[in-house]
Amino acid sequence: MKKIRVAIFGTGNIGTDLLVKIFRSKYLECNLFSGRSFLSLGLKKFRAEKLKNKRKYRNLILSDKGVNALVKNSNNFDLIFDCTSAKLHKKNFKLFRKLKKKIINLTPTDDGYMCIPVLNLEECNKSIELNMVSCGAQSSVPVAFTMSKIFKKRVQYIETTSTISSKSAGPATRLNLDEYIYSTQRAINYFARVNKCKAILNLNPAFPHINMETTTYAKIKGKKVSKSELNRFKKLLKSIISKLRKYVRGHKIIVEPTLIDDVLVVKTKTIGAGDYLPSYAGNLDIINCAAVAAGEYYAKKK
Amino acid sequence: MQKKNKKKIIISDATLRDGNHAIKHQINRAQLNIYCKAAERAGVDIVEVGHGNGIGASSIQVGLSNLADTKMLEICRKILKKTKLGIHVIPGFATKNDIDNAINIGVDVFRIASHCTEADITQKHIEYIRKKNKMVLGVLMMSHMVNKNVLYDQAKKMKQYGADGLVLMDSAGAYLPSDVKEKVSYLSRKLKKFPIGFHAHNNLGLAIANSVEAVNSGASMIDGCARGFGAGAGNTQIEVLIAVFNKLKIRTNVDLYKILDCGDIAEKFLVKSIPSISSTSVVSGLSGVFSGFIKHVIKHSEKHKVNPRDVFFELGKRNAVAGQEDLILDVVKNLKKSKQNFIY
Ligand SMILES: NC(=O)c1ccc[n+]([C@@H]2O[C@H](COP(=O)([O-])OP(=O)(O)OC[C@H]3O[C@@H](n4cnc5c(N)ncnc54)[C@H](OP(=O)(O)O)[C@@H]3O)[C@@H](O)[C@H]2O)c1
Repeated sequence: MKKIRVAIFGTGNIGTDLLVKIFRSKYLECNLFSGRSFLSLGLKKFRAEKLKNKRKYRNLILSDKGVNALVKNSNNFDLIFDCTSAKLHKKNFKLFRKLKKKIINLTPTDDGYMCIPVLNLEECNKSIELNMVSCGAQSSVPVAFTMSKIFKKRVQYIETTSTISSKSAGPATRLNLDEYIYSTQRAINYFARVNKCKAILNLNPAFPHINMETTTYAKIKGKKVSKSELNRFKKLLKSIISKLRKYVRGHKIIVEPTLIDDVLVVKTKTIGAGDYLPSYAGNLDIINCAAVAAGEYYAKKK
Repeated sequence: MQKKNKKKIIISDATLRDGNHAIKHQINRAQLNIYCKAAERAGVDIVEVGHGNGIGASSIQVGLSNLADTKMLEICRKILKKTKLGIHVIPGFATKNDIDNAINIGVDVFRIASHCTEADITQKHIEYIRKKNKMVLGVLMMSHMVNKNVLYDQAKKMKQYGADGLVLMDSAGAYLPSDVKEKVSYLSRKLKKFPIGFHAHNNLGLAIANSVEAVNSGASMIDGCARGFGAGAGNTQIEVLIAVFNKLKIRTNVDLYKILDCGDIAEKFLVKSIPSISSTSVVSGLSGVFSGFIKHVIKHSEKHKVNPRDVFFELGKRNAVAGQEDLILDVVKNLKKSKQNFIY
């Protein structure tokens, strides 16, 4: 099968980890890795790799010319992964559309079709631009969705806190905290159909670096949650998480669904594959694996 | 050695914010009203108001507020005239929307806080408030965890973003006076004309001593709370602080008798139990763990029958930081498990 040719825009933590993953893909092939400076760690790393293994990387163009490199090389790819910042994405997405490329956006903005592969991969495939929302959304939305599936209108409020290691949050992520919060909340609103929700992001500087963890809470009103309801919830959640694990292998539940008064709590942890940063940086994996899954699905259907 | 302090020290009163931790963020309208009036009468420069973790932090994760942020601020805004109204803002909890709400209500002082190594997450918030021409201070929390050089780098960033000054928080009550001297004097020497503040906690019984040391080392803003009202061992007791400052001839705008009244009013109307240095607080100070964790640690430890001291030292080992309340249950459960393994 012919691989779909892609470009990665942004050479930071997310972009670099994504590039490593795409080189393993049977359906995707990266031809352009574009940032703004060869001092950027991602470009540095792949410049060195390319020297070591010319054959493997023969089609990969490395550039520090940012968006201009995308325009100039636009014949070399059909799909763009945007791994820069929300602000930059807002500036560029019209241009991407003009280039008539499929876009998979990994920055937290409000344009494009929100994609949480385990929930709506098929449905969003037709959209020209997919929005991967945020790492926190990729881990909390499946839980929030399950909460609303079982408890329906009784779900009054959903809240999610993600903690990621400081080391894994690049400068663009740090500038994007508000956008992270807005877009994660927007995704919970949309997928769990709950009006009141809150997202919190916590950068933890602890050393040794901590794994990505997400705690999701739902306040459930009305009659008390029964044992059988809780069991139904556990069962559905388990099946959704095991589907999710097909593309994010290191994702798992670490605090089983627990009821504290009228609040249902679930905690998950994501251990990364250690492709670019070591395995603590599951936050890179959870969004990048989702983006690759979306890209591969597109490739297969094309 | 006591330097001549020509300039008055700015007194920032966190009773209605840090104190809120101690009552699980349940402060009510009457309490806000009565305390604001007392603080205004006493001539306090800034009164900080809100959820213990600042604006936008009301959540299941760290505790739900009794009153919405906007309600609390509106109530206090109506009362405070000369005294400025301040808020604590932690990016990751609070967004620009929260800041806009606060600006609309008329908040005067914005304190944008991050963990002591993460100043860059405050950039957007500080720049935004700078543009709106409000007073904005950078706050470095848990500042005991890193040395003076790291603090200097982080402070420089905040200054660059446009902050009007910097507050060092001893969030875990872990500083000794010698630490205060080293860090505050270094920062005030290097960051000329950039006001430095100090926010102490009393876990090791040093809040007043550390605040005095901070002033002697060049700090120009000091935080305190009436009766030390705050989580765990509490904060710098503001009435005592003013008394000691008076005795040392450190000048402030605050009237001693009237700030003593603030203490009495707080005791009568706000404080459930007057902060005292419990064994757990000492351990929290020693282990360098955020004192706001105490209530959660005690709750979970009691339930699972583990020793809260062990929980603190374990949290200290894991470098737990504010906002990581969900880690506590994890630690407690692990300790319980390892205890069981030990028994069988
Ligand atoms: N880290 C996470 O956990 C995570 C998870 C999910 C989503 N995200 C999102 O993913 C995006 C990237 O995050 P990150 O942590 O990887 O941040 P990052 O390391 O700062 O990566 C951003 C990259 O974009 C590049 N860039 C900035 N301006 C540019 C320009 N004008 N032209 C070309 N390239 C430019 C930067 O170049 P330099 O290297 O030269 O600075 C950097 O390589 C953010 O939108 C973030 O919100 C992050």
